[in-house]
Amino acid sequence: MASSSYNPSILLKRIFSLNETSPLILSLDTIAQTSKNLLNEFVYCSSTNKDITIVYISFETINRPSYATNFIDASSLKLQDLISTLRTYLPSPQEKVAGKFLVIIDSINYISNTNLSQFISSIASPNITFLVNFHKDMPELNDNENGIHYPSSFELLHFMAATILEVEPQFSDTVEEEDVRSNLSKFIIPKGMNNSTYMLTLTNKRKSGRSINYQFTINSDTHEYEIFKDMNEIEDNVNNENPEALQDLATFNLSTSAKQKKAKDQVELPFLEAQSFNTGGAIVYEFEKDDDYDEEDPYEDPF
Amino acid sequence: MSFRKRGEVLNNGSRGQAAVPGRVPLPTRGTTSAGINRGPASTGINRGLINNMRSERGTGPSAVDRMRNLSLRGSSPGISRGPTSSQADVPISSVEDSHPGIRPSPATSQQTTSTGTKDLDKLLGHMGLPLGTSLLMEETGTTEFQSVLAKIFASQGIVHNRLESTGSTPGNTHVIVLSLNQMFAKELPGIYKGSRRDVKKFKIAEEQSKVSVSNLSESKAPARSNDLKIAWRYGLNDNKPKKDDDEVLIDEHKNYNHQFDITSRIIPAPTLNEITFISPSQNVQAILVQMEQTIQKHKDKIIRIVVPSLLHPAMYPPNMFKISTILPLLHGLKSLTKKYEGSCVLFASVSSDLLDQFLLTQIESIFDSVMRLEPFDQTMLQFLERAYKSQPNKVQHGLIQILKLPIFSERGEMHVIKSEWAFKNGRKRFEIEEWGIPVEDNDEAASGDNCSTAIGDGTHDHSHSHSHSLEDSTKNTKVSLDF
Amino acid sequence: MSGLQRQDLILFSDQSVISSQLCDGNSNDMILVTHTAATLPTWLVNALVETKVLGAPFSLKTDSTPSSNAQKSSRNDPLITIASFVHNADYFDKNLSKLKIGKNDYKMVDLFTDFVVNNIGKPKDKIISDILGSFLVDTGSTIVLEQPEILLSLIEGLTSDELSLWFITPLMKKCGLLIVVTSTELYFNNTPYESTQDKNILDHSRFTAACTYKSLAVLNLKPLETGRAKDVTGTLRITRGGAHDSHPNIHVVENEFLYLTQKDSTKLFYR
Repeated sequence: MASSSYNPSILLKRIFSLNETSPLILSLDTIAQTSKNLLNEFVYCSSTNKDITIVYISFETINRPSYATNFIDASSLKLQDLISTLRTYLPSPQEKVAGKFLVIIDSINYISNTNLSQFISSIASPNITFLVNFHKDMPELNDNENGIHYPSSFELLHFMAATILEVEPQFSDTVEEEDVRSNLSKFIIPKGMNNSTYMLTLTNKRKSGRSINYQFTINSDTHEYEIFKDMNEIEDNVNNENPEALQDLATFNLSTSAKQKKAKDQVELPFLEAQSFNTGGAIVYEFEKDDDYDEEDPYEDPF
Repeated sequence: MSFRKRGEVLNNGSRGQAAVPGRVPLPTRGTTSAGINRGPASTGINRGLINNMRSERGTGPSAVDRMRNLSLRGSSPGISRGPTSSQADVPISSVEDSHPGIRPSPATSQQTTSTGTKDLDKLLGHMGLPLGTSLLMEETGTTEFQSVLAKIFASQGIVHNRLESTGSTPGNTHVIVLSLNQMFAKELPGIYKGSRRDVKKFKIAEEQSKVSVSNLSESKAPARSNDLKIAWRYGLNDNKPKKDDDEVLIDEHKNYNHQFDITSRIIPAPTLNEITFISPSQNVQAILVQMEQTIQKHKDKIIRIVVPSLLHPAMYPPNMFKISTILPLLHGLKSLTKKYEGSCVLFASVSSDLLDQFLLTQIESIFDSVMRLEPFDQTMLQFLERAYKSQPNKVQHGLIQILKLPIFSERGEMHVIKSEWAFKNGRKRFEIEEWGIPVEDNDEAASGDNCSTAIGDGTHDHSHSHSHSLEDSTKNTKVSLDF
Repeated sequence: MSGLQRQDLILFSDQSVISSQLCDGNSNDMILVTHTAATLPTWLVNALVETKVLGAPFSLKTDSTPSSNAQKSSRNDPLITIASFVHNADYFDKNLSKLKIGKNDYKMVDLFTDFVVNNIGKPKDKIISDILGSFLVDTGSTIVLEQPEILLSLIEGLTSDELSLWFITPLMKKCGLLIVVTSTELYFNNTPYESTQDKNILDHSRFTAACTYKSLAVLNLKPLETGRAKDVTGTLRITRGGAHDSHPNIHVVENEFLYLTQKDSTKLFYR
């Protein structure tokens, strides 16, 4: 395996403390688990480094966070004004400065899709790391008029970001994940969401062109990161049939050809029918004379 | 045939419930007509009911005469006493409390006016629509029950307006219709009347009823007992006129609600003094300004705003289906209804199949109360027709779902009541009754909708003999007595 | 219901409904109340207003403390402003007078009566700035705002982001605590908004999501999944919102209650 020489937790810490070069970090969140705790992780890990300037661009947060060196309330600014305000706090691309700059955007959803790429590239500079928060469950309103098939904001950011951090609530065993999701789509927030312990999926695009995936359990109170599972390995294990191992074990052929394998996959196992809950299980009930059907009870409805 | 005897039993037993016309043994929890006439506040012994009895029951000319007398006697105390006497505690409103078309809600004592459909009044929980509130009647499918209700709602306003009992001012009610269709005024139904021709018809019907036994068993006895009950009650009234408060209440509101015959037309047709049409195909502001001017022109009157077939594609151009056009209109209408909450009510009906869920949800959110008519499909109707083979008039036409009730829902109470009420529309009235799935019994079609005691009786021969049915009906009366 | 204990309403870890730390003039916060058409939040709004005016939600209290215990604020001007797009001033006057809250105890901004007649046809930014102008800046005060999402339908061409950025955020800055009451009925019966292309639905859900991200706590009212019951009106669930961490010293106490609203009284039970 050895997909990476890094210990995943160390990689994560390096990202949090901005030691890993990554001009654009995308954090993805939902109403079930917002990335506020994740932001705090960045602040916690980089607090040892005195040379960091944090510029907080806020569309959503009104209360200025204590860690923000500069706070820009972008809710009433036009995009051009925002860029010019931002430039006053940041070095220009040519300038050589010591220290690092972290620009937090909360959240990028409010910058319109067509201006997104231009906005980021106009500010980008070697010393600046963008930490861009994107709400996955805020639907995008694309005006794909005039036949312009521009990618959605999500696709754009996903493409541009070197590091993607996706937070999700940790589901306890008792809670059905399906139920939670259907409730969330009705804006009913179940209890236990937005907890200080949550799941984090890290996608890191390496210089080699590969991208690696890890899932962590993060505890924001103790700042402990625990690897939950290595998603790279899982992907490898899906295809666990190893044809070479079956070679030369017997005098007959143990391995399966592609055609055989396809046929094997197509075999319908018994009881598969029963798992598609389409029609089965209807209660067929017919009244008979002697049936004791309580008319008074509206809930005694045989149908 | 010992009608009288049975009637007496009924009278002594549970007065007010069993002795109700139209009380037919049904395997549901009491029919709605029974429910309506139950209890002191709602005992609607008014002229409409008597007409109803007279027409439906066909007890012969002598009985009709007697009832006529009764209705006269019944109404006279109410008039002499004057309707204002016992309404001191009622909240102040811009319309005089003596208006015959309003009464306090039994639940909240807010001033309330009738929708013209008595069962609907009951279902709203206030014996009508409280002033300042709005009702949306949705209907699925392509049927037009909602427009019937809209017309009756308008007719009730016209009838109130034409009641002579209000002092010197000409008229007490004004109807505003948001519609292009001026024919709406000419299509309004008239009050149901038991004319001479009807009486003749009923004579014939009586003859027929001797042949069709189920008629006898289900209707005659209760009808008879009911008129006995009235005689008995008013007898009491004559002796001690001030004691019986119930009766006072009834008499006070005797013109509150009327019964409409949807095959007839209100005569003469409403004039411009009674009804104002406002076209929905103008811009929203023009509609609202016109509406407010009309309300101000008719101040001191009850204003009934009717929006029949909201968003009917024939009347509403496509741009009205835009959320930013239709919602401001409705928001404006609601605002007017609340601004003049002492005198305004708003009734709108809509075919919900034409609207998508988003639009419908937004429209519903505007109204204080929302109900949805869900007519049965063909298969269900056929099933019901089979089940009620001998009593085709008992076949319900659909379910009426309650989504919101005026005032109650506003308070935060949960009033989504689904599949508990069914409606049927007849010539004489729009009825709402508790819904129960009828027992389909092929062997015993006649008693198919009877109480379970009768159903269990499988050993009978099933020819519809006189004695058999009578026996059944006796059983039923006993059962209803037990309730 | 007899086996169940009545409960007091508590939102924050300092045992308060509206913590005193929220309106200290240094922060601007939001609490979101979401409801369905079947479970309208009248009683909850009343209780929150009562909390601001009298100090505690006596209408929900288990020990039915007489209102004489109430400690009215020493301030002369009202601590709370109520603004509604769906109810007129009369409606609140009637409801609140039952709780012994007089007209002088709160300020009313009626955005319902004649709203359409007065505003139709005006440019959208003008309408919004006019509405904003009717609120005073007072970072110690609370504003209750009923159904702002209706503006998406009432104002031609208004988008959810404009509503959030032009109206909700500036309004939050004008007060210490903004309580937004919004309906989630739309998402109840519909297909999930993720799978729709309807711009209206997307706009609404985007607005609701934006409010959720901004709020400290979310109070959700919904009917029982089993439908109507005689002894339960619905459930009240208190959960953390997206901005749950903006006050380090207090946190939202997640909780779920069953409640029963009858006539003018509401009782809370622990679930």
